[in-house]
Amino acid sequence: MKYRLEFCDVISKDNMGGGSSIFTKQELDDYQELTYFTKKEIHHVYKRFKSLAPNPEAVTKATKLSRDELYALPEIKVNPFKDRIVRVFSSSGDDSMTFEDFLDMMSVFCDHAPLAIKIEYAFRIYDFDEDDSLGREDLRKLIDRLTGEMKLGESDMEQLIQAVIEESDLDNDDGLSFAEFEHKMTKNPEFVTSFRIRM
Amino acid sequence: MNQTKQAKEHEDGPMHLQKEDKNEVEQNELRFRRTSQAAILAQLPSRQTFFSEAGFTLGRRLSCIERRKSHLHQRASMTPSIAVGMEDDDAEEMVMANRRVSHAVSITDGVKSITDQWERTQSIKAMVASIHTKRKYRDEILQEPVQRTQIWKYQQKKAWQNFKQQTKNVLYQLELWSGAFKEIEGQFGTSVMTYFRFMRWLLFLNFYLMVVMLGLTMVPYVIKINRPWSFLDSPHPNNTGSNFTGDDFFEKALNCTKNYIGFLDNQTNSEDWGSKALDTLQGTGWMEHTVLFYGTYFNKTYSLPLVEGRLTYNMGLSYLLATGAAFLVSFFLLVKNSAKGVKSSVLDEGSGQMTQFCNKVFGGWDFCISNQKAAKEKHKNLTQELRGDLDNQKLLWKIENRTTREKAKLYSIRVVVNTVVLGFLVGSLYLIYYANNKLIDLQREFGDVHPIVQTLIQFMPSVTITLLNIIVPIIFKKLVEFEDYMPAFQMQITLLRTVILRLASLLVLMGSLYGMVVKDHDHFVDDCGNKRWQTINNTSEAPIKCWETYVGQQIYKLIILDFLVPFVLTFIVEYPRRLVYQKFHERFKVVNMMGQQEFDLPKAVLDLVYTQTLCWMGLFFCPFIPMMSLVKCFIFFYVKKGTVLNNCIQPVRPFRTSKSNSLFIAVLFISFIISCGPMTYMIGTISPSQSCGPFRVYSVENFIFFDTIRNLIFTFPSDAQKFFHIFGTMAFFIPAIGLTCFFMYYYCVQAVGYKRRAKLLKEDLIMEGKDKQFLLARVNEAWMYIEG
Repeated sequence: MKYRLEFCDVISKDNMGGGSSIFTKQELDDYQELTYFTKKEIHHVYKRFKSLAPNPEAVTKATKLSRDELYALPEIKVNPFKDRIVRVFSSSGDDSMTFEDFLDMMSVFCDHAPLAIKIEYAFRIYDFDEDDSLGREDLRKLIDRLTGEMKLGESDMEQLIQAVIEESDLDNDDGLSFAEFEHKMTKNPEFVTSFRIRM
Repeated sequence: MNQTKQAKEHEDGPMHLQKEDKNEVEQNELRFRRTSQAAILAQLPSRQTFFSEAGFTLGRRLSCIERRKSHLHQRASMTPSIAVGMEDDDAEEMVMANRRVSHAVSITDGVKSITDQWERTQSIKAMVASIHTKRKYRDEILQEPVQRTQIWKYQQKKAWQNFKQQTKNVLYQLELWSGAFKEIEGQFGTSVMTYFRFMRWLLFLNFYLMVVMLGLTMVPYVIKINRPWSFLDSPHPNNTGSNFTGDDFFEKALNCTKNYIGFLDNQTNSEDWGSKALDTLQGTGWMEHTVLFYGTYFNKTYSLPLVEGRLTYNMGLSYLLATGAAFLVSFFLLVKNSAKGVKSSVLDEGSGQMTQFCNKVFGGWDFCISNQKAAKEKHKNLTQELRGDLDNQKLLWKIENRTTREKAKLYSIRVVVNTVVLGFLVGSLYLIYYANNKLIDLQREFGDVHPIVQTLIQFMPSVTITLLNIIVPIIFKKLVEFEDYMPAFQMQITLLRTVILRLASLLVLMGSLYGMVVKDHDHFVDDCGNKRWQTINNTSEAPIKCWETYVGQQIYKLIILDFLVPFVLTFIVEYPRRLVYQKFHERFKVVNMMGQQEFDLPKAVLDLVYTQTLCWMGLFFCPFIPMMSLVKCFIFFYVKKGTVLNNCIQPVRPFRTSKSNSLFIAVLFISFIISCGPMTYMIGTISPSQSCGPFRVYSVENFIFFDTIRNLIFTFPSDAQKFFHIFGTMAFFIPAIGLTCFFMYYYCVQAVGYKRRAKLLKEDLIMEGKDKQFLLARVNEAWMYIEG
């Protein structure tokens, strides 16, 4: 305990001047240390979290937002992977998120997050059947979501899936493991610019 | 699974398997193998962390840290894993539990000093787990007893981190236009965003250029310390006791200036308000002797009230050095920005056809989009793009099967099209050259006509250039369709051709200006450093009494036109087009066919590059140009934002963001080099005017601009002089060039080596994967044997 207190003394400098009434200084420092956000950004994220709740005044840090309430966020609403995003980031696994889950999600999607962590979460989001590998079914569902209302024809879909697997499957197990996915995405310059949500 | 398989075998019997049943049996086997393989895979140390509470990467991250710190200690467990509190199938529970005991390494492993502790807490940020979990681990780390050694190092690191965090906070608030960016991004995605980011970067570049140029030229000119306001009021150098070797040069400058100013006054006094307004557009008349152009500046002498004697501000030297510094700043910023692009494109090996599908499928959806309409469009575009790419692939397969006859036909078409394009380029350039020369003749004919007509004639070369810049790219776009390239390559080659057109037209303009300034003319007297000092024979051609200001004026005209024309076009063409489309597209098919305005990204970027090239070209002759560019960038941001958000739809084939960024910077870099060249040549060979500017007082016959620097070096002590002289000799240049070539070659060879290494590593990866499959199959067999 002695060391912990000393540690916290050193790190808890009040950088922003005026404190906040919602979070204690300790909590803000915690969040700053554990996510990629600055204090101002954390406040901003909290504001957006509050705006999603049906009753903004009664929102506390322990409030849980249900899935439908989360879908009201504009960036999530139009996103074809919204159910996967909410599932992956929901710590209780039942598609509801507390503020910390929400903060976590926004931290992964923000500009400052490194590529590695984005790749990890992208893999989890795209893995529809949660078997730690992007198989043909996963890819099929992924492409379906991407194309929206206009579906690709069956032969086109097969051609596309085959092309993707040929490009990235290195160990010939007919699916992408995490290592292969990471190998491909580190070289994809569009990934980092598209896998982000600005607050 | 096992039972199902056995049941199947009993049912069908191995002899009478139909084809479909055989397939189904194979499918079942495959499924079974995959599930059991998945079960086995899950027990591999590298996969074990999947089921742990900590999430995927903790084990991986820790293993990295372990390796880094422990390569000296040779730890036995190279891939520690955390298996804490799992919830998984019963099948693997037993095995996992055993592994838990034997391989469990806690997160506090290896934390000995307080620096370690701090570093470990920093690494928790990168953990793939919820905040709750991260907090738990952080507390665990903090509770470990540690040695408080090397506190100083730890405190240093801590302070540095805090400082970085604070500056990041401040800088984040200062970011210009971030709200507008978010709006555009939400509606259009990141490819259109690159254009606006590029605009913002140019804005800051112009800001720095403006600060450098104006700070060193205009500010000393304008500050009030008992300075003479015009050259004619300057004290005679003999009085100041400075080292002018001949005061006949000074006398000459005085006379020339008197003549020039008298001429100007004559012109401006006889003008009315209308002419004065026209002069603003052209930069002539009353604007000619303002701070805007080169002409007003001269070497100032100040007399400070407290200090005895007079100080001279060597305006010539500072003018020259300001231009040099401005170019250096641009060069530095350009290189810094292009390095970013190079880094990411080096990673993108085998780009183009090989990786396009993966990239599009996994990185295709822009998570920034927040608008329902934009999302629908994005879906549509993605589908179209994917279909297009699949068609491309089929086309590639077709190309490989092209017959020789088809190839010959295609190549001959390409040669023809390239010749036509070249013809167009040469034709346009000749047109510009012709327009410039015709200008003189027209001036002669219409010398005494209404001033508006005169202004139009003055603007003729600039208008020609602008018109050609609009029309010819459209022709290029149509032509390139005959060449049957891949679509991405089509876009690149059209861009390249348009860039050549623009830059070449500017070069031709500079060339004809150079011709006008340097050649001897029959109708003119050559005096005071200007070849066209005075007219003989009563011609109505205007004399040029200060050629630097004249060149500055031509560029000024180009810039004004470059600002007005797109501005006006936006309001005349784009807004009405949207209104027409909205009202009439259901009724008239033609309107529907023309479609909505698409945001033409390459053209918009070329416009920006063109403005910047003009800025660099005119920097020496008109120090205010960076400020004009700055204002133009600023205004155009809002104009373009308005038109993009209201009038345009998403481009059907979006550009790849990173590639396009590096392409834009490359084009800008080429323009930079091309604008440096003619200017340096002009400055290095032509003598300055004796009637205007900070170089009007020569120090030798055949004075050139750079002689100012030579004179400066002569005033240094002799050792310093010798040092500077070495730079000019061959003994310095040849070894320097040789050394540079050597380093370039070395880095090239290194790059080739790295590529080879990457290829070998990839092959290793593939082999490892195959090994893994093989081993899994064996384990599977063993498993089945044990179970069955």
